[in-house]
Amino acid sequence: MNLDKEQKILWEASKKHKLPPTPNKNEIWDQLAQQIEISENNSAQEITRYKISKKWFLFAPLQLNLNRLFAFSVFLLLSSPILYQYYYFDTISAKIGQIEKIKLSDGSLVTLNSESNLTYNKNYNISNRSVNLIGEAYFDINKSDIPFKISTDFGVVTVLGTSFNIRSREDGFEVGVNSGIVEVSHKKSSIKLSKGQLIKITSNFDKKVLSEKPYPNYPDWMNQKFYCNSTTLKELSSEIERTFNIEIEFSKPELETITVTGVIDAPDLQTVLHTISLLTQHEFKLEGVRCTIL
Amino acid sequence: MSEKEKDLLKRVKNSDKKAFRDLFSDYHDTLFRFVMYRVQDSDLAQDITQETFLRVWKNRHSLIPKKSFFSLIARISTNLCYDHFRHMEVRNRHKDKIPEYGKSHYDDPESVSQANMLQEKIQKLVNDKLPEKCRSIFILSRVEGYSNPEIAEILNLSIRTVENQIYRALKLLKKNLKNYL
Repeated sequence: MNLDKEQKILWEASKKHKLPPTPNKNEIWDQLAQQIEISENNSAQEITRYKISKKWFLFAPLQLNLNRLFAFSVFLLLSSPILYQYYYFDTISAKIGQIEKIKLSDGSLVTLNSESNLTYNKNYNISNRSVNLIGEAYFDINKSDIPFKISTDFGVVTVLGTSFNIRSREDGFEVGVNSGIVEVSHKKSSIKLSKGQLIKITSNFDKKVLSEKPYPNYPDWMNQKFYCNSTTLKELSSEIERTFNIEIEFSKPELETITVTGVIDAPDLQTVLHTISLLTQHEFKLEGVRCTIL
Repeated sequence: MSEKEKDLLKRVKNSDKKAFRDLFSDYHDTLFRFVMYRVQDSDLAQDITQETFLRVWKNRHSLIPKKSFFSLIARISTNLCYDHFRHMEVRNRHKDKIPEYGKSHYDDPESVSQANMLQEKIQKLVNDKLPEKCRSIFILSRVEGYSNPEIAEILNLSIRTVENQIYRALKLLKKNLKNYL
């Protein structure tokens, strides 16, 4: 390089810079190694937290392997209905012997009878008011512009704001209305029910019976009663089994066909069994959860 | 740049801590003096040097082995210096003080000889006026005493570029220091 006089002065001057002694790099390294360890522990925790929050991330290592990626996508494909159900729906169940009361986000009250499931969309009351019912439940629906829809195995029940009972069990379908108007639709046919009306549909849809509400305090289970109108002992005992979580056996098969008429108070199992015993003139034997009618 | 350094960087990229220690050993002192030249505070320079290496390790996966390692750490440390001074500036502003960027450590005016004064002016200009690449080259040459081919190797530049940058630095210094020459 060709430097002039002044540049040479600068060149020399800049070289004379005094700097303090450099610290011992081994000590610095020890400190650094410690810091690295601390930061790595922290970041390891961050990664775990991240993995928990984004569940799919757990499968990230699988993506390294094409075969596994394929297996993973098959898994996703197969499990997507379950995941969809899990992510978008809430399910509330009432087990045998239990009654569940649910208040939905729009203020509507649902009382689930024993052995029933109510599933509703996470968007409930935002874009829809759709629920899915398996079993029996009493609905007290708040008025809203969004129609309330209950899907069952038998058909769809649509309402705007009313109270009514739906029973959707293996042995048949029943809707009874306490207030307001309810629309029951199955496939292409639909029927409107108004206050005090009750519809019963048999399980194979061969018979539809529309009637007035049979008794004032409908439905019976909401008032801790069993309503019987020529009800066979077999039908009644299945309701009792569900309500009190017991098993009822008949000592003789002909007992199943005995019919009962009347309203049985059902505050507890003993009262019910005593009433039935009185009505049918048959003794019963209760051992734990097993009841035998003699 | 040397094959050894490239190899070390590749290993660091794959989380080899031993390679990182070697890299640290090779560059710690140079970086410390490089930062020292800028901040003129031994403790601060030590902190910034350490933080620079820590950041390299944290971001090791994005290392590019064929790029100059010194360029990288020079840039990181420069940013850390800026952060520090910005922080100081905020603090000083609240104390109603005018910040003195790159304040001299020669506190006693009596002891400051003419040569020291010139040296100090150069330092201030290098820190304030020179572009990043030019500054790195100038410091490596004048403070570390590296030859131009050595600097070219470290920074992965051609010798011609190193020469040009040094010449450019001197030209700028001369222009700004007319009164002291």
